[in-house]
Amino acid sequence: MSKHILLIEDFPVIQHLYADHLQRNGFEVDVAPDGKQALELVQTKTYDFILVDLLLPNVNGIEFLEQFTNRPPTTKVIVLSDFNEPHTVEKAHNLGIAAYLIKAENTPSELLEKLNAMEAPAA
Amino acid sequence: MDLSKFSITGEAERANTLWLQNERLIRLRWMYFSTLIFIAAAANYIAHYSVLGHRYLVIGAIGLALNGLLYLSNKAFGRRRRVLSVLMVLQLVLDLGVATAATYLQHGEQARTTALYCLPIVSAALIFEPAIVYATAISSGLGYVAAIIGYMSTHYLPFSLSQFLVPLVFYPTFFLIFAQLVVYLMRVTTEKTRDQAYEAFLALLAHQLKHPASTVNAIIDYMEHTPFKTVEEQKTYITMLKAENHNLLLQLNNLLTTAGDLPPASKASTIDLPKFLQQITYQVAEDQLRVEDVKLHLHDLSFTIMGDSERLRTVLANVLNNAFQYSKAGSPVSISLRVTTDHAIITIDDKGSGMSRNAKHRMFQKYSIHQSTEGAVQGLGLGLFVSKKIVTAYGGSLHIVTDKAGTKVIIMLKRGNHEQAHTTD
Repeated sequence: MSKHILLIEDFPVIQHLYADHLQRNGFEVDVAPDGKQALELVQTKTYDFILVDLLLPNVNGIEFLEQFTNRPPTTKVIVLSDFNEPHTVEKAHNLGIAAYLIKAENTPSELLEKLNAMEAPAA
Repeated sequence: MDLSKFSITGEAERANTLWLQNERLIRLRWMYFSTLIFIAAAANYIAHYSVLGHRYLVIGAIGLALNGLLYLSNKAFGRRRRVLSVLMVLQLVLDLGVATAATYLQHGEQARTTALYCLPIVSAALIFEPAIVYATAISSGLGYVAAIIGYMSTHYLPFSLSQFLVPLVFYPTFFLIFAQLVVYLMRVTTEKTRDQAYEAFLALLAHQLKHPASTVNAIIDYMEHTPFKTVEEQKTYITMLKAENHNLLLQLNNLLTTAGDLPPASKASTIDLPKFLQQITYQVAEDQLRVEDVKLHLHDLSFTIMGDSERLRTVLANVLNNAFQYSKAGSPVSISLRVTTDHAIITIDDKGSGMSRNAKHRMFQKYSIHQSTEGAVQGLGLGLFVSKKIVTAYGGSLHIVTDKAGTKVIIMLKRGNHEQAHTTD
């Protein structure tokens, strides 16, 4: 059964690269360009993984983590960002993320390996 | 994301900061005079001390009139740093004068208005000079002593040192201790603010420069793992790589142009402006995946100008990047060119959501990033600052008209003697 991923990313090139690579490798991917639209999506669908960037328009990544309080226990939220300022990383960890990944060190194929390695329960 | 605090380096920024502080202080004084003096006057009328109430009203009216003059002067001489500093010192004199007059009216040593001296001491901290804070504290002490001696002499009251020793020693000492506290807080706040802003700026700088690099990484990785069916498909990703490279170069260019004065143009060349504008427009549109949204109106113009093509490229790329980033994909971005006797005028018009009042106020300041509601915003908030700096250095001008219906940027380039212009229509 394919895993469901929500990719919250505002930059179209990154959206395309990650979403397409994950889709070609058996994931079902939804894309939200900002935290606001992501908050609407998570109310209607349960995801196995949520990949969230931090620097986003309207509702940013940290605000999304703060507002997404009714997280299903099966959903793993992962930050995928270029931002690695220590206070921000700590803040994100305090908001209950499963991992904090830096984009430069997690290309689409590397991310795919990490997601496969994480034991995601069936949706 | 406001990083303007980090940049307190330029003369213009310093003057602007001082001007804003003056304005805030003047606004605060409207409230302070209106409430303290007039409520004191009203209370005295109610208590039937009508003469005292009358005097308070006179002080309040004079204070408000002088504050009005300061307000008008601040508006008229805005942005001139020396005048602004004089205005700030005049405000201190006014506040000290009011505190002394009120102390005198309150019968000197019995005064319940001594706290009024705290206002000029705190205001002095806004000038950023601890020496001025101490000078104001000493002046407050002297003003207080003068009010007591003045009251005793004008009322022919006997002066007994034992009676006045405590207030004469206590209040001036209190003002100095208070000044010391203000200076301490001032240093802590300034350093903390500077540190926080500096760290925020470095984090953003690292992020914005890392972003193109990590995107390039992702594109290369994607290309390695994707079996392309056609060469055209492959070309799309090469275009993406180029776009990231352009973005990185533009940001580095902006940073270099921001640091220090603009050096004289190294290589003036003949630029075919309509062709050049068309080339940059499509390059930026392609980078932003918005080629279909371009509405280019060149009116069949054909002419050349003399200039530094690299700098003109920086200006156009910055303004066009903004137009695409702050408008929705699918909405048109119009670019038009026309010529007058003295200028070549480029207008770039987007249908985005425009700028907020706050963003409008800061749009030409360094590190001023206006968060878009439309999508990803790249850069360090230097684009408009750099563009205006370059265009102005060449004798041209850059204007922005923005409202909820979108933003229009008008770049007026001065037509040099060496240009050749003709229309072909």
